[in-house]
Amino acid sequence: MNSTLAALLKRPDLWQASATLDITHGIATGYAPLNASLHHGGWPTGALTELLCRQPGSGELQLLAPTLAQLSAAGHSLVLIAPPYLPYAPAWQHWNISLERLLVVQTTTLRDQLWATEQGLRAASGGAVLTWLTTANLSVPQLRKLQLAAQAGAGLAILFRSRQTANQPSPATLRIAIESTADGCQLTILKQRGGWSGQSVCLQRPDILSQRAMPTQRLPAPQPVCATGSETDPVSPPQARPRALPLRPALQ
Amino acid sequence: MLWLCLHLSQLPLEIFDDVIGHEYADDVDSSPRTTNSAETTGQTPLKPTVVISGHRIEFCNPAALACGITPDTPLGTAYGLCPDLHISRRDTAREQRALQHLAYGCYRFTSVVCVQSPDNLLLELQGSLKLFGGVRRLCALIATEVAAHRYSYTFGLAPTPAAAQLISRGTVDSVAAFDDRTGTVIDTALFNRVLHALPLSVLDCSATLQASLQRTGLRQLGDVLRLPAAALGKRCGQGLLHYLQQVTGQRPDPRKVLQLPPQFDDALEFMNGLTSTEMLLFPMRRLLLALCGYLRVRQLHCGGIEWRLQQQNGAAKTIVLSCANPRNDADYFLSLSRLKLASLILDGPVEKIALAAMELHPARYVERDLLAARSASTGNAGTGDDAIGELIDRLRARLGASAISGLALADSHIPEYAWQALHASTLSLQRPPSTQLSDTADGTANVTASTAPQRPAWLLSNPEEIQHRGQQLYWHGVLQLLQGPERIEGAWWSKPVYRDYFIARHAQGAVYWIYRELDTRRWFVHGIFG
Repeated sequence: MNSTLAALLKRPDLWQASATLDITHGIATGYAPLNASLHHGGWPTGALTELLCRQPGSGELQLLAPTLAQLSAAGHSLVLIAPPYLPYAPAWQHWNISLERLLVVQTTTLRDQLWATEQGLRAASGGAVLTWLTTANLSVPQLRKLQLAAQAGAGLAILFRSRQTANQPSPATLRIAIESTADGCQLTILKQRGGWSGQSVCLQRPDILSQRAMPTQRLPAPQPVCATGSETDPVSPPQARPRALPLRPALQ
Repeated sequence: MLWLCLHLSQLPLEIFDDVIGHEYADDVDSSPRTTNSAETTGQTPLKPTVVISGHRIEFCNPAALACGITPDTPLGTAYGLCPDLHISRRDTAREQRALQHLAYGCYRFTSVVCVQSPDNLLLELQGSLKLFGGVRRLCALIATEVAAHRYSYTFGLAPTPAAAQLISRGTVDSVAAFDDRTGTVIDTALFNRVLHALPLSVLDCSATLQASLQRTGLRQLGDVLRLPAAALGKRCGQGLLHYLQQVTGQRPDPRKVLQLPPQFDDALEFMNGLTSTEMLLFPMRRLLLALCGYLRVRQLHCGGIEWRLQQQNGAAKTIVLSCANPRNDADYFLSLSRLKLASLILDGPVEKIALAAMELHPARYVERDLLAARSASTGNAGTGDDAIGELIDRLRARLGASAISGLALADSHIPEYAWQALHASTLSLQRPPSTQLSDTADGTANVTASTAPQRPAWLLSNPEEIQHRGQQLYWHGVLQLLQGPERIEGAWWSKPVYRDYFIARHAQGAVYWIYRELDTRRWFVHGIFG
């Protein structure tokens, strides 16, 4: 029994509460309530951070934007690996992220993506690597490899994964689930090494994006001219509701 | 003056070693005086190989000697002794190229490098002694350099180039006669003993002259040097006299110093062909060492290299490697080549590997901080840029140049033209010097109530059409309009755009940027707010 226990204690991937953590402080997230909940006062560097979201657009970039802006202003590089869509330069610029520091890497296979991520993490040296692994089903050794690369590079390592992986084990230092709500997003800390998990933080979207829906009478009505399927839609036939006028006339 | 002569007696054989397919290993023999160093480095035993010119065997490697084959053995007899004998025809042009490559490599020790055909390399060391810390250290460094090229050699040290050449062909070392610090002869007796004991066969003179000297009973160089000069000149001609005077330093002996071509373009050929990518690495390394020696001599850095692999079936493969930051580093180029080779499929043996340097830039030497520890703790941006440059190179080598891009704004109000992807080759050049850390690290979000319209973080490269379900817009769920419209129109001269943009929220909370085409009245999703 004792020998089994001793063998277990030797495992490098088993965290012991008595062990002192090598991460002394994190990079401020830019959101005070979140900083307060995080054990390191921000994003941990040299360690994996997983953000679990249902779909792109849950507020995950809004969450990271202040950190990325701060890193790029300090001259560090930001590497985006296999982003789900085109990163739209004007918006990133609007967040004060200097575009010269951005590097976008497109990969076709998971193997290439993991390789590129590992290379990026090793070369991060204070910068950030963001990789979208939302469709992939990663094994613990694969994640462990990335974790080691993150330790070697000592940068910010963000993995975007799907919400379904929340129940799977992961060697990541910090795991946060993101759930978008009506006016922003809700973050739930699923795991953080050395600290408590389970805290929940609500972040508001900027005013413009979180305002209420437009009054229905101002809604421009969809025109059935070219719309396919609207007339054959059996669930809600267009005749069921009175049609509102379009907000502006279409150019003829 | 202190001249070092490298005598590569086995060069005609060793230039063919690549074909045998060496184990690629980096064992370097650094002992200053080595004879046949390539054989002592513990390599796999080579195939019996001979080099012929005409029908005469000129050189045999140790394996062939072990079979009983010696130079001048008739070819038929040689085949009888060893049926799987490998025969190469002597290639003097390639020997000269190999010598040239070695000269590039040695140029970092001295600026006076002379290539003496067919198998000698002369280096003038006097001016380099102080920098490299003495005669013995410098000789050891040169030995390391030659060992990296895997040639066996002997060397000779002398105050005159002609004497150095003679001593390099002998068997006795003359290093002990020189002062380690100044490089002058301190033990003249020892030096003369070494020089005079050389057999006459080492002399650079015609065979008939040698024979006539032999007939007069002269055996060693000392015997000839002791003869009165006037009598010797009368009997054997002024040529020999002048030559001997150059050996002893009584007559000037100008040598032609290495001149460099304006471009580096070189190739290695293999008669039997190389079949695996692993086998390519050894000759590639040899070419890269030559390239780096060349770049060092010309004080250039190289921004990219091009490999051309000529196959026996006539097909040629080209591998282009480019670096974000121009550099001169053989190991780095080799590691990039290795990444490229991993994805290369050879459909036939390779008979020729050619290397060309593509972009030559003046060398840019990075000034490092003297207090290196301090710069490391503050995260030096300079080293960070180097790291990111190397990252770009590695990614480009494995994933292809099109997989890596940068982002920039473009001058257009039409959303899909308001940005542009930067090609990887321009990435490193447009990086401005890094600015100091801005003061936003205080932990509060810097939300500015900007008047600029909101733009989404993600753009769909192909806008996706939204369905109508009655009064509602439907795209993976019901969309609810939050804000709009923002009319964007233009580009009437090419692809007209007439759109009203809205911000819409999905039932699950995601926020989309959608538009309605004014002319067709169809709705599309164009962007996603992150």
